[in-house]
Amino acid sequence: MSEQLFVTGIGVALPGADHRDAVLDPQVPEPVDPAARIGRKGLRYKDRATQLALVAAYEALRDAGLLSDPDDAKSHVAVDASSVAVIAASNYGNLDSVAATIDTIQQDRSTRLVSPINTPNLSSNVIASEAAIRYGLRGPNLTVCNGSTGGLDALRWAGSLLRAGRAEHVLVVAVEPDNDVVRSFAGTPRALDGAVAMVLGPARDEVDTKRPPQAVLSATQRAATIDDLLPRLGVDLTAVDGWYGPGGAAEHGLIGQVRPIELGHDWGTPSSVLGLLQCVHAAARFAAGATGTLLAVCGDPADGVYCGTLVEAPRQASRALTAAGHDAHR
Amino acid sequence: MAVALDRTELIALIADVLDLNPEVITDDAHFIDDLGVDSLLALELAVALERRCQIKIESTEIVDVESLRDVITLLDRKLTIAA
Repeated sequence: MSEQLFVTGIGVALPGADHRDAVLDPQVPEPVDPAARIGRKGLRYKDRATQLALVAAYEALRDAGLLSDPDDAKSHVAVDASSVAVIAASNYGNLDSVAATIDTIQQDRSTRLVSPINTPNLSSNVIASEAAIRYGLRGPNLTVCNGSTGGLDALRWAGSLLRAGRAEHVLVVAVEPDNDVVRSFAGTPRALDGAVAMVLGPARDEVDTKRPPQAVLSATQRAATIDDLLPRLGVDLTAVDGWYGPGGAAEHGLIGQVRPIELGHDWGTPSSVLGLLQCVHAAARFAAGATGTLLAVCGDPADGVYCGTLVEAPRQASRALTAAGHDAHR
Repeated sequence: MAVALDRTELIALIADVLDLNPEVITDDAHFIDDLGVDSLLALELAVALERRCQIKIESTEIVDVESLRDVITLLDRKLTIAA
């Protein structure tokens, strides 16, 4: 893998799964209760997507060891604030807030009764900016709203920021809310109602052997078909141990001899959360002892685009890194 | 048609908007100094009162409101005018 992104922190706020390893075997799905996870203070006027994202963001930043007080869910980061970027991925994030405001304006034929304090929720970047405000993240801040590939596209942007030196750590959070507005717009009986966050940054095992990276990602690539995607990823299929399909299921069958991996749970239509969910599922498998390289693919024939990344087990990746360093040294 | 609120209803509405316990909304608790109200929350309070009481409050009027006592005075004036 030419470019490597190190997953140094993971946060999960999904119905029935509140941490990385629970993704492999979720409990009976109960809606995520953000107030129970990070306290109710500061959540009053945030929309559902922002609340879910703040939960996952807190867990990921804590997991990465970046918070000044890990037990305080309103803690700022302990590292240089301008070195931490935020990228949110969401397709339906504030759709409910926008629809409700339009209804208010339509009913009163004026903007007089529009809630002033709700207006920040009408910004497409509200999720990323609220995460930055709450946790004191002053690096680049943006939102990717790019359909089914949105989660993996956000990882591509994270790689770009790290490579360009614009950030040392990137918080990537993918979130979707489930509500009537989303179901109607997306034409789905049930949308995923949750968030997954990852912190990407320098290999922690270089600075802290007690906190090695949880997975190593290759540069994300895009192509019109899955067949076109593989050469762009530079992937040797004989070295891939499994792949996550774009439907979150195995309907695409084998790629070469590579077997599909089922996410094994119906989370609802995952939209932009799928890509990060695949990566976290892979990281959970690695934590449980699996090794090797997995392929995550998102996309939709209707969109005419697929996006993929390789997810490698950390210890093996460290060895590969060491070998590369050794070669360079020689 | 303007709608009057009794004291308990008014305190409940303010507590809800400010996300505070009703007990802390006393006559003279200062919205900014004691209750953490900022300009955005003050506007939100004005809109909430407009909706609930079916009255119009100009943004210039809410600037002078600093406590529950001021809210009551403002509403009394509005409701008298409306009546």
